[in-house]
Amino acid sequence: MTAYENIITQKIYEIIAPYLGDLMAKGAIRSQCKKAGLDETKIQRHDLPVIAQNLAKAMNLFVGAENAQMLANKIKAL
Amino acid sequence: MRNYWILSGIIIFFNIVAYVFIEGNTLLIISDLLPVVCAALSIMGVASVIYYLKTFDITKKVWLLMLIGLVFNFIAELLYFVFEVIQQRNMDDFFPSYADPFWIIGFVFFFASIISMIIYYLRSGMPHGKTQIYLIIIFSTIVLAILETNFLLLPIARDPETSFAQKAVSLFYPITDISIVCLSLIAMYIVNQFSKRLFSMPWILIALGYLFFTVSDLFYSYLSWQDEYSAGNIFDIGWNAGYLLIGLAGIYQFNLMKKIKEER
Repeated sequence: MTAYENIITQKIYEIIAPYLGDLMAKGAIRSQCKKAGLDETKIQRHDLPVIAQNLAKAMNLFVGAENAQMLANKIKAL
Repeated sequence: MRNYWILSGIIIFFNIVAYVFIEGNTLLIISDLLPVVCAALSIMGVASVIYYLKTFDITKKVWLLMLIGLVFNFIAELLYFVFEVIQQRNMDDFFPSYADPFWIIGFVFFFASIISMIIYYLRSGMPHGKTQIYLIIIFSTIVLAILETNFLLLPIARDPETSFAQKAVSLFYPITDISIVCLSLIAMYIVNQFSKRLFSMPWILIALGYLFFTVSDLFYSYLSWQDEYSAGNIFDIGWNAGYLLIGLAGIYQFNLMKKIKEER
């Protein structure tokens, strides 16, 4: 499902949406970008490490550190 | 997971059947033994999560606090069983019993667990949801607290026939339960935002478990104060269901983490 025009944002969405669901995935991207001072529609590759770490920290509570880091690594590797 | 659901269903069904059809000493044994069994099952469920989590971080801390709370509750249930069934003490004259401090300490760990989860979540930068919902939950809790104070707490506090220790314990459970209800509802709202049930299920089950505990605690405090509580009361089922739901939450959490790891 396409949610974003920005291909990197769309790929982040595709990685986390299967776990968080559509609404929370979008909300998580929005809030983590806001937290990092980024525009969610203009994410660039060099922004990925910060976003990935923030998302991992947020998802840690629900999936454990190892799994959260695995998702973060997927995002960093985009 | 399916087996745990089936086992829980059988236990609750047996629990209901026992309350309806069995009387006397047999009911007493069943009624005191089932919470021990259910607490042990919940420990197994939650311990599976602790075993799986290798890193000692917030996730492990939250589940570990819950596990410690369950262990204290298990000791309390076991002590209660020993006092009432093995030593054949009249628990109406033995209130508060030596089991109560363990329930109270167990509660502190449950509280610490759920508040840690909520604080971490709210600070994590994940969507918080609607502020109005938080306000509705807090407002509803305040209304519930006022009703509880009026109909349960004040009458207990003013009762001249109730000793200080009995009053303290009788008041502790309902007061603290109200805070747990509020936190459980907030936790349920937070995780309910996840459309993926596998993700939200553990915390929904934990919150439901605490809500079941609360309902039983409220009836227990009221009936104990009225000297109408006796073993084999139908409201005891809330404690058993609460334990089983928390254990089930552990199993859901374990399966969730395992599933993600396998998808790597």
